[in-house]
Amino acid sequence: MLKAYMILSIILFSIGVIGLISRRNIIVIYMSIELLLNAVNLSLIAISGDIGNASGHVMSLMIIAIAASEAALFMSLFVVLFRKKGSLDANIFDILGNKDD
Amino acid sequence: MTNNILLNILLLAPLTSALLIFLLNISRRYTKQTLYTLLALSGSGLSAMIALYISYTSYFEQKLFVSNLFTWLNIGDFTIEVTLKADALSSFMLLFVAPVSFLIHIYATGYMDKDKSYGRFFTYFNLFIFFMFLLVLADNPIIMFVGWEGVGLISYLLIGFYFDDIQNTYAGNKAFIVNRVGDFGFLSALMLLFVEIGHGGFSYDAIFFNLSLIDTPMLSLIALLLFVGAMGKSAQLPLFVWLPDAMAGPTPVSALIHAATMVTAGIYMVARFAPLYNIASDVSLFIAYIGGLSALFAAIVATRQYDIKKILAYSTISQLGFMFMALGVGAYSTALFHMFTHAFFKGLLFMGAGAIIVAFGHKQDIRELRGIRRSVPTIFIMMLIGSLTISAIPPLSAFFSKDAIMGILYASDHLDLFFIALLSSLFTVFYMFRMIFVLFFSENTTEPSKNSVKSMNYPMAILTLLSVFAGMLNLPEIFGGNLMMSSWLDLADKHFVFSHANEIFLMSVNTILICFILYYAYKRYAYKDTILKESTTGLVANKFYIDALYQLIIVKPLYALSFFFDRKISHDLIDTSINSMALNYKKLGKLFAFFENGNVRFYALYMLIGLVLGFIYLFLLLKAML
Amino acid sequence: MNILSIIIFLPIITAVILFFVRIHVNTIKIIYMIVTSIIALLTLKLYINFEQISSMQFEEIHRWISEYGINYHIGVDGVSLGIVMMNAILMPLVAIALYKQRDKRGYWINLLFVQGGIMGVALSLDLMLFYLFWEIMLLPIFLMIGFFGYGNKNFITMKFNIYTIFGSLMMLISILYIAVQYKIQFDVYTFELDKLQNLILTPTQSILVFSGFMIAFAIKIPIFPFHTWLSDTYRSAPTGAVIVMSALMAKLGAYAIWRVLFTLLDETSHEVAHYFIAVGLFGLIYFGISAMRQTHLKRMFALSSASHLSLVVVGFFIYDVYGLIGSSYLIVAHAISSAALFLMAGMLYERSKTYDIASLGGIATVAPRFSLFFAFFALSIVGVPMTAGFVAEVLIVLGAFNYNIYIGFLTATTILIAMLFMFKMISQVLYGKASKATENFEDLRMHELIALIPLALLVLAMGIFPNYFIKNIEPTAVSYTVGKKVFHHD
Repeated sequence: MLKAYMILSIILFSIGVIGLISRRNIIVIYMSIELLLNAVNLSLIAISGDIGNASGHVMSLMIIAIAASEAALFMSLFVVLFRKKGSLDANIFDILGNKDD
Repeated sequence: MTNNILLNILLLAPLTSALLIFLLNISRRYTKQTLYTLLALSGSGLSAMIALYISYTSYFEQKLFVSNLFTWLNIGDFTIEVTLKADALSSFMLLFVAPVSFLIHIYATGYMDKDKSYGRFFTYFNLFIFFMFLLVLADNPIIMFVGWEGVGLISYLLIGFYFDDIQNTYAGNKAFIVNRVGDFGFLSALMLLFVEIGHGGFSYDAIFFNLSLIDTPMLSLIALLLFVGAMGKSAQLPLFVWLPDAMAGPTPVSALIHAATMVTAGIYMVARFAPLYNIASDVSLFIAYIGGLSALFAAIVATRQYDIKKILAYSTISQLGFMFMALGVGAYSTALFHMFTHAFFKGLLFMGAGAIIVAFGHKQDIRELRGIRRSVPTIFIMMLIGSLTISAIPPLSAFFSKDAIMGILYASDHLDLFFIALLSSLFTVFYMFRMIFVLFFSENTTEPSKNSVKSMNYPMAILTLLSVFAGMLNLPEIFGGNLMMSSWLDLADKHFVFSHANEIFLMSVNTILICFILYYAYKRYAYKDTILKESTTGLVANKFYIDALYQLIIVKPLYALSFFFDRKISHDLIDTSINSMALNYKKLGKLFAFFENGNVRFYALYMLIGLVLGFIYLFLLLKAML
Repeated sequence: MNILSIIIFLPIITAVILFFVRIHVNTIKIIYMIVTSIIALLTLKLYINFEQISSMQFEEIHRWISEYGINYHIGVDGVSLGIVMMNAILMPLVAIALYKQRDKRGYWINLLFVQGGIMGVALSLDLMLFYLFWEIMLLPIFLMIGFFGYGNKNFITMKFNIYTIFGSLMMLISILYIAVQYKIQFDVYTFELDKLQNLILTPTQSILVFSGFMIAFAIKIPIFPFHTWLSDTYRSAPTGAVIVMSALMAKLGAYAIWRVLFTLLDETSHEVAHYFIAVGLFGLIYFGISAMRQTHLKRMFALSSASHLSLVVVGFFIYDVYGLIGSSYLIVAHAISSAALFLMAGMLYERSKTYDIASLGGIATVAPRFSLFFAFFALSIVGVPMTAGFVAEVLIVLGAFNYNIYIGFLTATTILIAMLFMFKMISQVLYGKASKATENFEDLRMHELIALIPLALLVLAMGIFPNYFIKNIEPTAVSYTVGKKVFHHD
């Protein structure tokens, strides 16, 4: 049974990673990040159920709570970013790079 | 430690007066010309008097003057003392160097009169005497080399004396550089000598004492290199090129440095090393042939020169060639005797030339100075006597000295050398009287712009007397003399058996030939315009293209090499490759900058790739472990 | 406190304090003069008290980082004495000559700083200390070129710095390597030169260590082919920095060969000597000929310096008492002459606003005193007799002939090389007709004369009475050659 949960978790995680890398819209990237988190949550819950230890449940509840606050932060960030550049295209936001050449 | 005060004064008097004049001159205070004159003449006059006294005592009492000043260097075996020593040879050098210097000093006070660089001139001039004395009196070759280079330096400064014209200074550069090529040989020879026998001391006596310890090839090499030094200083083939150009200096300089004293330093040096050259006989012979070639070459070139000073310069090369011929066959004192008489008559001729140049507003071309006999009669007489002397007309001094050389060449089994000498001496008569007849015997007349100065005439008169009578000093047996000078010098001369009948025959043939050439020159040049019709092209008029040849094979390749080194190797090869190293770092940086594009999504991708690779690695590791 | 420590740290500390205190530039100049004069007097005392023996004198040793055996160890012997004296004499004189030209505080502070650094390099006997000072003296020059230089100065100062630091790092690696080897062999760390001598290295190891050191020194001197930073750097650097670089820092490179390599890696130095003699001789001729076509005065002098320093290298590696003494003498002699020449080149630029040789000329007519000194120092570089350079060249040539006759002939070309460019330069700069740039050329002022006359007198004194000076070097030089393998190829 664990195997099926783990496969689902891996599939979810892969979808998240691919979305994170390939999509340019920041909101979609955010959604991909949420997918990653949930994939991890799923695997935590499945493993903790399997070995009969509740700490996995605790951890995933914790993650869900943090993800909620994170969502609030992200929403405000979207607004700020959109105001700054008028777009939510991720390729525009590359000030980390070396732009002086 | 001996310390002879007379020798010290002799050496230091010119130095002191040079320093005083220098300080007065550089302080830029207004100084009366008389003061300079006084200082310059007292320095050289004092040393001239002492020099005469020393040679007198040396000759009659065989007294040796030695003065040990201080230790120049003392490292291990290498001990060089600054010691002055007036033995017979040095005293003999003093005998003509000091008085001639003094006379030319007097002459120069007239020649340089009212020149704005009067003080500078006499600073150099007195400094020159100092270095010349150092050269002559030094007890070891290193200190002699100091004097040797010193006179070269002063010669450089005086050739470029009128530095407003940059060409004059180039002539000075040429003189110094060519001399230094010779000095390269000289220095190498001294160093080799030291390496071989330096542990036994390095004074002349010690060197000659230990000569036998050197094996023959090395000795020949040393002798040859020493002669390279003499070649530079005494302007022999192939290092003669500087001397004609050196005539850019003021005429007293040409008279003193480039005729009477400095250029004879090479002769002095070879005579000084006579014991060495007696062993290295193959090198001696080489010297004789170089001397012969130079004598002939310069005499031929002189027949097509028009500058009065250049004619005399080539004549100097030619006469020095005679001396080297004598040195080469081992007749050292004969060579020195000719050097002695040469100092007087060549000094006289140059002074005459200088007087003419001053009197006619600095014209030097004999084609522009025609028929000046009436305007400068005293100069004419003295120049005529000088020219007759150099042509070896009996009984003038050069007759004895030059005929002695001819006789020895004849007796030494080198008949080829003898004929070279004979031919050169006939050419000498020709070019000298070509000059005399063009200058003084012509219908066209050039008017002088200035009367001759008295202070220039007196020294000339004295030199005229000396040129006439100096031959008495070394009168051969045949004329009832006893070769006083040769026996005084007591050098390691080779002796040649030579019958009196032969000697008389040679002399008469020689004199007859000279008179014939004289007559030919008179027919050709006197009261005629032949000189204007001479072609200025051709091999002889262009000095056999030697200067151009040097330009082509030495100067130009050096500059090309300089370009090649500086541009091609330093810049294009080394610097560019170093800079390109830096440039490649920059390119490498650009490659990484492409990955680091600031887009976080890509960073996530790299993380992913990293993770995947990491997992693959772990997987493989696990698989291997299981 | 030991006299040597004062000599090293007085200028450094003064410079650091001056850096933090904001006072007027004239006060700084006065402080500079006072400090450098004190140093000059102290070194004079040092010279008088110096005994003519081969061992180290005025030694001072303190523990510094005892865990790794790093000590503060300084001392002076015959060879370093020359460099210390030069540094002490040149610094105040340079300042007198430049007194009116430079009104930047940093200029003077940096000069003070570099003086201390150079003293430190010359006097340290502990490799870590040596390395520290070696790097310290680089910094002020970097800043001076960057702030006060000419032309493409930023690029050039960076290039110079990276070049030199690359060399220094190689040296650091070598230093650390031999320290570790010492730990392995003797079970204790040390960086003391005299202790490290006892180290036994395999041939491969010693060659590697030798190369590490030699790269640092070769870049500093510079010897072929590490010279390409040289002419541009000298061209761009301000007068003070050029003097420090050519007269002192380059000489330190040569000095370090003796101090470090001949002490530590004596046998290896002997083995590779002929390569460096060859490189030195090649450099002597190569730089001399390269200088012929230069049109920029400072570039020409730069190459001329390089040519002479190659000769110094030849003299050292000949490993003969005459060569060693001659080279150490040439270090001092050339330091004075080249410092004076670069100083005068600076004056020339200040008056005529050009370094271009072709557009100068006729200075002898308008400024006789300037020409006198300029020609004098140029001729002393050529090595005319009665100047210090002549003595040094004769000794080196003698050493070379002692070594091998062919090497001797090649070394003797030194009396020809400098003439190739020097005389033409003198003619073009001083003689001929005055050009537009030199029409209103002002003759030497009093303060410039005060700076140049002692230098000229020193050159003459060293040329006429060399024995007096050489007596101090001789015992040290003899101790490096006696009892060691003597090469004699014939």
